[in-house]
Amino acid sequence: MIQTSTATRPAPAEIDRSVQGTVLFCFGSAIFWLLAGCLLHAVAGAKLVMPGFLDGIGFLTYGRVLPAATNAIAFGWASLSAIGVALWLCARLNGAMLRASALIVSAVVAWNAAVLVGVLAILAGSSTGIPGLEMPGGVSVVLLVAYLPIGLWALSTFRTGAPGFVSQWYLVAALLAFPWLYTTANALLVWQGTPGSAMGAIFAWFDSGFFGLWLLPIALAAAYYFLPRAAGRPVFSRGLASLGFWTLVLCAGWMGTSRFQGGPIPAWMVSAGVVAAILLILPAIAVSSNLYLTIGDACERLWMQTPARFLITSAVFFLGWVSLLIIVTLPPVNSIIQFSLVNPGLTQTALHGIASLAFIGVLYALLGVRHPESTITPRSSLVFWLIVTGVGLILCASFFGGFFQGFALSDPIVTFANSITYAAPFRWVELAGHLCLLAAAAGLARDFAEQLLVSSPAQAPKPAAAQRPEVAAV
Amino acid sequence: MTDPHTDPIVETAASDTPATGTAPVPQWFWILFVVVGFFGALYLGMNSGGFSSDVFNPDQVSWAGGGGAAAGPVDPKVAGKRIFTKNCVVCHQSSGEGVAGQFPPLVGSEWVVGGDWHGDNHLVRVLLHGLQGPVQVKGDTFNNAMVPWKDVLSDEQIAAVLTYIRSEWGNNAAPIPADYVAKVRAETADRGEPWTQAALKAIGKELVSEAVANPAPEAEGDGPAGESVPPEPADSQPSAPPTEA
Amino acid sequence: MTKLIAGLVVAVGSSWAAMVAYPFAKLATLQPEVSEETGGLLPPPLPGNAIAGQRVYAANGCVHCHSQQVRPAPFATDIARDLGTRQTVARDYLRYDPAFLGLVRTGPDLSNVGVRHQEAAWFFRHLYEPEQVTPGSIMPSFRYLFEEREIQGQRSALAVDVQGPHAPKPGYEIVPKQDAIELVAYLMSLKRDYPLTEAPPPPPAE
Ligand code: HEC
Ligand code: HEC
Repeated sequence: MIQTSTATRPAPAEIDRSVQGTVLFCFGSAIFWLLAGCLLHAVAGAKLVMPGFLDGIGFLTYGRVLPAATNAIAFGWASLSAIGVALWLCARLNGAMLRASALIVSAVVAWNAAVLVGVLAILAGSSTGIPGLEMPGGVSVVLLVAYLPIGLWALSTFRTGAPGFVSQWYLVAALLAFPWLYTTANALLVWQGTPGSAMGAIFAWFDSGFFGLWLLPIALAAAYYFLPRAAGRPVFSRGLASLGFWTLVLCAGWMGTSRFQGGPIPAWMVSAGVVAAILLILPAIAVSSNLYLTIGDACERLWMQTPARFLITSAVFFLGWVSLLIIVTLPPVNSIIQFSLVNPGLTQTALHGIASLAFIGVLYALLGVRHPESTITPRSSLVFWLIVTGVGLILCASFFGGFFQGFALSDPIVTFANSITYAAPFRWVELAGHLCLLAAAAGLARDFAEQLLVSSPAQAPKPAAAQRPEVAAV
Repeated sequence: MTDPHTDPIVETAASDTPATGTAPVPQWFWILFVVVGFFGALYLGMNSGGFSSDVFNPDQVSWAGGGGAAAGPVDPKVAGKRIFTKNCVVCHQSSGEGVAGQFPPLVGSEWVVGGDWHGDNHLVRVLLHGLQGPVQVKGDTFNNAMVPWKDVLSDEQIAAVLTYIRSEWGNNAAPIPADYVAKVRAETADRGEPWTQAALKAIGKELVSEAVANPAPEAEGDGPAGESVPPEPADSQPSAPPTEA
Repeated sequence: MTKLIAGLVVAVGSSWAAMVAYPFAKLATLQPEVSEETGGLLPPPLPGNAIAGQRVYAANGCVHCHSQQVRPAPFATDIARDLGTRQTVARDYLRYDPAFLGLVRTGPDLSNVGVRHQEAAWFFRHLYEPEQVTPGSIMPSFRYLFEEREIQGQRSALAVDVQGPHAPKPGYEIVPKQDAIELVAYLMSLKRDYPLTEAPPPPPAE
């Protein structure tokens, strides 16, 4: 990209001005879904510890509230903010101005409307019953149509030259993977059903790909873009980055079936999934060591900058998540915890610890463009610690609780009722974690609203080149 | 303009993108790569279930493709019964008695166990290419048609199903080995249409015991050994060694 | 750019071929087997009500608490815990669309719940008020799948026997709505008690 001629390339500040309205709109609506999703998830969590809570009401039954929450988070919060991040990064990295913002904004409006209909449909009892794909078929059609202009515009920015920088690879991968994953899964499972256990394999491919090929690459693209800039150093090694990239895109699709150990999926597919999950250690180590070697001793300074702090922590969660995932995928461990609290807990960790943290980091960077002080504020620090605490509580509870529950579920002389009793205290802790996330969402919403309202766009931004290095690094 | 490779932080229009260093991939990473890759491949190999779509428990069949070995030799009669149930019962019935006037019986049929002019070569031909027109079975005449099986069943599967019908319901004739089926298949490779009784009668009678020059293990009566049993359905049930647990 | 996209197509496409196309071709096309003993089809066809019941099972998110897979021994203890007599295999699910394999066991595995409980009345009572049937249960109550109506003449044969806070008013009875009837037909169809070629027999008792 560096070779691109200076003359044709608009200044970053200009680019930012052209995209920021659209991207902030993505984030604004995403934050609404984060709030809604966390609230619903907390309600679901409460129902597990107090079965009498809002009991016997059709649209508030656990089996509807939980998928409503996960869909609101996956398609409302995570995907919309991922789209926001991708739009901004594509524009910046490729030196493109967003001229069609009206089209993109209408697509985002349609996306929001579809998610709203989808979540309400789940609550009303029209769920498809396929985990992660519960929203009715019509909704997924609208989502895909809405994605079309977004994805096409983002990919079209790459016309200017070869994608030479790591973040660009990740962006291209994610932008292409999402429609591929979502169309396949809907065509085979939602628009038209596939009978039998084939559904399990297809759904597993979608589910692991949704995180590993859509949300995660965008989070990593952000880390690879912002952290070297903030540290003022080049990315440590191109070779390591490339290995990390290719091993991730390979493993992310294959690892899904590892969740069906002993299940009605041909043995070789499950074993291939297990191997792919274990190979995930390669991208995790490649990415985290590359970023670590890039930042080096700038770590302490970066810790005091909001976007960098979120992004560094997200990378740490990536390494941690993969390590724990590998441990629980090893067959002797898996046979015990397979159906326990552990796996849902790890999913939450990945979603909020890796994706949410990274996306919020980028959001603060974008807000920082308007308010050029990127040092951590009490507000952003509160959001940060609430998320880290929430994820930490959920992770600990699901791990310790999951092992107790798993042992109860697998020891033939322990009754099933005991698995409920053993898990109960940990479910309270998990609920506390979800409440922390809810509080973080509320804090983020407030911070976001204030920063937008306090100053009108006219006052910001100052030309970036005039800032001190840390500021420009935003 | 500063050189973007040394000073990526200065925001000029051209160097908005951070630079990428060219440090080599650390050696320890390659070691990790190889170690993880090796153990991954090893694990997959040992738990692949022979890469078959109907093996769900990787313990059932182990590494080395010919999983049959680990599962113990498969009794061809058991495999044969399964093939018979899947392919033949609709017409010949599970009793092997057929349906009077439509489908001839297999029980005590000279076609199956051998007769004056009926040899094993005829039986295999009937299975490979089918049979049509009037035929006499145990004194009754049938005038119907049976489809060829050569594209549906492998040599091993034909051998297994024939071995089964020759030893079930009181029938008692020597097993048919897979390589005998292969031999007949090769001899009749250019046959395009089902046989008729007249065409078969013109061919001299041949028995498995005479045909297999080297009568060693198979023709002894043990039936095909472990490796030559039908690979597809046979890997599973019958042979799961009861001692494993 | 072309190289990058080609690489992505190969990397993601390989998993697509293995994890989507392959199961679609191999598992989704499985046919029932003819029973060696009875000549009937295995797995047996589902009654119409049970097919309709899948929709109710999906709508109410039972899959978020109940799995439907029995794992083999000695990998797991499912068989020793009487969740089934053998591992469940792909053919067991060919009549279900979607198959609710499930990923958690907040509640017990339901692969063979139709073997464990044979009476519709038990299922109705349990769905109406799980606590009453299994004290300490955290399964939500599905009261909204039932209605309370005045007894006209004879008590309905389906009327649920309930005591406690959610008991009907005198002269009234609790009867399942169509959804609950279909759901229970579905649950009672969950029986993997027949043999299948590819499902290895359970290892002998230890
Ligand atoms: C579609 C019905 C059908 C099926 C399926 C079928 N057969 Fe036949 N089979 C026939 C008919 C009809 C004849 C007699 C042909 C004639 O009348 O010319 C026959 C003849 C035979 C004969 C020779 C006559 C006899 O009764 O001994 C043998 C042996 C035989 N079948 C074996 C098999 C085997 C083994 C299979 C399974 C692989 C099989 N058949 C499947 C219809 C069928
Ligand atoms: C919050 C999680 C949860 C949800 C949602 C849930 N269940 Fe349950 N289920 C349980 C628990 C826990 C038990 C064990 C205690 C009991 O028997 O009530 C159970 C037990 C059962 C049993 C008895 C199993 C046996 O072997 O005795 C059946 C049947 C059942 N559930 C059906 C359903 C159906 C149908 C739905 C959806 C309409 C459903 N469950 C939704 C948690 C749940």
